Amino acid sequence: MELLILNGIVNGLIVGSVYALIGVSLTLLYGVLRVVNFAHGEFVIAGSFFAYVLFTGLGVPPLLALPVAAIAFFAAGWGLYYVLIPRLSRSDDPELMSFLMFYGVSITAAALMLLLFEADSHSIDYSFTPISLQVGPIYVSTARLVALAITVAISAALAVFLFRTLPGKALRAAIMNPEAIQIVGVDIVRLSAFAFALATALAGITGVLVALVFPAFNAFSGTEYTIIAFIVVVLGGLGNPVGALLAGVVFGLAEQMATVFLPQALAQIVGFAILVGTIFLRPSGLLGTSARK
Amino acid sequence: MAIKLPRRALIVTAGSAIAAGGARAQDAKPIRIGMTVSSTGAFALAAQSGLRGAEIWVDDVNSRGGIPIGGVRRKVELVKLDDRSDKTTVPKVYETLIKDEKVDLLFGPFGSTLTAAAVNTTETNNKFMVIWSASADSIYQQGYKYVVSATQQAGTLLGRPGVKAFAKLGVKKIAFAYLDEPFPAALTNGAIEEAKSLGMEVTMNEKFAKGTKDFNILIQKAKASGADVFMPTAYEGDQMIIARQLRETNADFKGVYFVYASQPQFLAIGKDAQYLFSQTLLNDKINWKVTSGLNRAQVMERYAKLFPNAQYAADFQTALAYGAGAVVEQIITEAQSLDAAKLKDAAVKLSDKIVTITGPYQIDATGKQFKNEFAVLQNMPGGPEVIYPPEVVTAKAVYPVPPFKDRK
Repeated sequence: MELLILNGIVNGLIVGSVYALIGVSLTLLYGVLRVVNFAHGEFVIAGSFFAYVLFTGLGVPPLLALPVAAIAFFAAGWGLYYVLIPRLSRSDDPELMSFLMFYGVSITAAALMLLLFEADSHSIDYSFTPISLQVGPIYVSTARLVALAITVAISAALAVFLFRTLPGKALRAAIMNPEAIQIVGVDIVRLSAFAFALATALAGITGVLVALVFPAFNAFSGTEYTIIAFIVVVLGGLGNPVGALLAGVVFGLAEQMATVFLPQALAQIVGFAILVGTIFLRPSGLLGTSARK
Repeated sequence: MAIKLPRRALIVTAGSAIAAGGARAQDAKPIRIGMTVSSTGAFALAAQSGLRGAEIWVDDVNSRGGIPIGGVRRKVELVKLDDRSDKTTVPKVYETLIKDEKVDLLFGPFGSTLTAAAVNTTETNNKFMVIWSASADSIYQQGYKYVVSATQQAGTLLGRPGVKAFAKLGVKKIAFAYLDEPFPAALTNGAIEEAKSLGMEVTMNEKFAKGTKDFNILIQKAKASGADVFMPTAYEGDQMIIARQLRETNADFKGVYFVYASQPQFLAIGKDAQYLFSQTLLNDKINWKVTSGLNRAQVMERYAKLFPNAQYAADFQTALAYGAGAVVEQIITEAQSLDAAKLKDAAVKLSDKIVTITGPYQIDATGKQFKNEFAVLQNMPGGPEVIYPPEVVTAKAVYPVPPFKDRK
């Protein structure tokens, strides 16, 4: 049992870090734009397919695919913002409409990936050498350790960006009070486009890591990651990137420990119980502030 | 009430495709066989793959002049309507096939869901229906009189070949895990029954929910249970993740069995797939001594000839549907009639007397298919080889499999 618990803690931390990254871009988008991106999982899986194409077509290993994915998805996100978002602002209820619109984007993205890659599961035949490292009595996957290191690095960079740079501070200000930030002369449209592009780039990077850690994905895998992202975002507090990072790790640990003590089938119920419990007991999430009217 | 479908939705594959056959055959009324095919929806790919198998059979039987009934050779017409993968549409479309298109007998649609929806209609109208892809045992527990599964083995039997193969290899302890959905659950429950009946100890039986991404703890539990062999059953994506995590956690079992491990997309994961055991119906290495219809190589040849522009290669759905056609031909020849009761009697009489592309045919009075067992393969360094059943074996199993650290 001790071995299982140790495995659960180590894997909970690592898998939780990936969950955190899945959630952080979604919460960033919601915080700045009040956009509920139901297609977030499809963006993540598009990142996995991006890495797959680079690896199988050009022989680019997944680690090198990370910066390429970041740039490509940032550019795609910037363009997508101007296609999708300005129209939402003309709606009576932009938040609800964003949910419905991105539901449509989710279906469209999945259908496009189906068209391009068919329904079969795909994987990247790439593994690190050695494939795992022995840490005391347990084996830890090298890919997972690499994913953990990258997640920590990205989180640190994101924290520096949000708290130490002017655009980052502007983003946080936009999350707190979008009206006030316009009064002081910030171009909110440009800032929003940047936030959308940044969130899309993070989703793309997450997709590459997902392809390394959970090495099978298909056109319909996105929904599973969207659900994880929503649990993390609600637990961390809507629109709170730091909360999402913490929530991802908490969710990962809770899920893993549940599988140690309960049948594996109940692990997901634990995730949803956390979601429902958070909404009932602490609707602002672990680090969230009270919801704005 | 029959639904109105656009005329173009009705496609008839007529005997006219082949000019061969005697004058009597051309004059005789064709045998009309109805079926629905999903042009859209979740079952579209599999249904159309199966349709191509049925069309190969129609082409073959008509090229031989048709099926003799009462001394007259009658060609076969396949009457196809669209079911859109929708179980609420299926009963209406089968009603249309029977009442408007006046078909003589029917092939089932793809899968258990649609077949269960179709069978009430065919039974109510006293029509004989041949099932080619539905594995749900429940279909055969309803007391239907005129259904026969020609090639598709019942769900609870699907996991048994693997267990039988392991029993022959001397396995004593086996751990099971499965995705909590009907197909993996039925397969695993059947496999567990078989394991117990063969005197094996089932050291673990645990299910996991759809969407589970991390199987590390599940693997550790299976290892801690002391199992010789681990048999996790899910769809290919989950199985590919488990295969990687087995290697990452250095979890050495004497054998690991994944249903889909010999499929091309699974083999693409490289080293993770080495030495895994799996099962399938259609593979270059599985060649039954066929007594009815074409053999595997001949069917593949016809597939290439008839469907040069098909987006996908022939798969086991193609083989199942082709094999069902070959069985139907024997049933009609035996019955010398298209009456549902006579066809069912003939189907039962032929039990254990036919071998088709997918293996031996054996049914009971409910129409449930007991044979057509999947062959068990193992991924050897040179590619998958058949290790069970003995009739089609191509290599000796490697058991216990080499530990991960000793693999190149």
